[in-house]
Amino acid sequence: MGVFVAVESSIHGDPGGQTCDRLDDLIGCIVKEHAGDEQGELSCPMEPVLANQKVGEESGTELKGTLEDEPCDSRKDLVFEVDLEREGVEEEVLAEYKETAEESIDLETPLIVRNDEDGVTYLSDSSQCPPSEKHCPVEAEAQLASLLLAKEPFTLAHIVPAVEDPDFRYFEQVLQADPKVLHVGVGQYDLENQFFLDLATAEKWVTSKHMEVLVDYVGQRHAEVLHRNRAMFVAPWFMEQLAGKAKTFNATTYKGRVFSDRKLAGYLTKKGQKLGVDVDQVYAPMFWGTDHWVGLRISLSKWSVLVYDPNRKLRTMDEVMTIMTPIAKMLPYLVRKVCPANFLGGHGLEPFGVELMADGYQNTRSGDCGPVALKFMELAATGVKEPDVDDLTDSSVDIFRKQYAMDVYKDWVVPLYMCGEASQHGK
Amino acid sequence: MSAAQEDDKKPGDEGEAQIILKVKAQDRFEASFRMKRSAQLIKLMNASCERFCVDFNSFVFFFDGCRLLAGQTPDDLDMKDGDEIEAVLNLRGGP
Repeated sequence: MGVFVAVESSIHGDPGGQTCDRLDDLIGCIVKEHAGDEQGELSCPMEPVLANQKVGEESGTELKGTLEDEPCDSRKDLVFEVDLEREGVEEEVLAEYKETAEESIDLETPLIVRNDEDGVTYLSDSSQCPPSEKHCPVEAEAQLASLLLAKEPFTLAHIVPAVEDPDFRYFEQVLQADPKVLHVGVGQYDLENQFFLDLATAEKWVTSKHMEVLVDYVGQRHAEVLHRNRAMFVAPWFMEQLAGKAKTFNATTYKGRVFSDRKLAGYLTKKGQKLGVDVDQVYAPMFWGTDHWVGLRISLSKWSVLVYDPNRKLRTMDEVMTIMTPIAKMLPYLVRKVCPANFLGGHGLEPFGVELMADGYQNTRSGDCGPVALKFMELAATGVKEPDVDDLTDSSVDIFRKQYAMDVYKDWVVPLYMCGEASQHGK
Repeated sequence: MSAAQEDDKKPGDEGEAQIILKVKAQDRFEASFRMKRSAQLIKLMNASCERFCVDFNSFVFFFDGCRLLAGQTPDDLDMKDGDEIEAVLNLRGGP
């Protein structure tokens, strides 16, 4: 005999007309009603099944979740079918299942059931989520797009803009109208309007996603110059992954093996950006401690790492060396892994030197270390001397943060909505 | 398979290919998940964060060095059984 348990988020009300605030209360109510089920009184939806979940297959226990045939975003009712006739149904499994179901009440997260025997968690076979719908720009966004597209193309003369873009206020106003708007497929990212607002806000902390997008954007914007200068940018994950190997590196005898996986080498061996062959200098953001972004220039020709720290007062040179020494020791092994031997300059496994940028703007008011570190690296990688890092001020930081936000929006978001083409993943 | 089991089988489930993927966080924590090849990876991301007891936005997920997008599926990325996804902490810095 099967027991059908209808579970419904309390915000949507009970299909049978009852209202229960707690999921377990609701389960209780409906199990009690089950007696009437056989007389056809159960009012839970039994329509098309889109979810099917199995637990403890080996023991023969089977729990099944069914959903009404609705897009997953708008699904309201969730029905679980529990077959109690199978052998091996254990109370604790059901209790765990019920607990999981309770946690899943918001239905935004997938229903999961853990099978500790083989260590595999089965994700529910629930409904196929429809592809993320493309945002339909409103009139104000179209006006903003036309304003942005009419602007002069970027030149290196504007690498540190002297004045705020006159249309920034309008840009901000349009994005603030709906900060949750999601732009799908911006470069290789999905970005909300809030992402741009945060980036443009002075002293607002930025996430690794901001840094990843900025590094990617700056790398593309200056692709030709970087190629000429034999330089490239890498995502913040490069240094994160390298630093993460320090413990293993120190512990192991065969240190070269630490870098045997493709992940780190993949950053340095991209087509046209192969370290040693096409590139001598790698610019990489790095996250220090729990809250600080710096920039690094890893120079193969100088066999050194230059640290661009936007706020040098935060750490002494000894503290800097504590962070950077493991990096300096690991880099030769990584370089040897990806570089042809004749590009190593006879350094062998000698650790890289570590230098700290001695002069230049300091973001002592704090809050801008990410964008400032990136601007330091952008200036260095492009070879722009005027303006220099000494010429940056708090005011110019405010301006270039806004400009970064507008530029990324103009070059990556606006084209998504041109020509009426859909911007789905994989395009 | 009994008649009851036949009845229990839901339309659309037959022949639906599944995949087992491993999620590794910070080189220390691991979890394995089985899911449909055509299901969006946001399911796995959500479940991983739940398993590691962190907020959804705490991790960024990578496969083969590329960031995973919520709407992608294992089929989109040509993933194979046992493939490893890396979960990296989403960092926030300011001072």
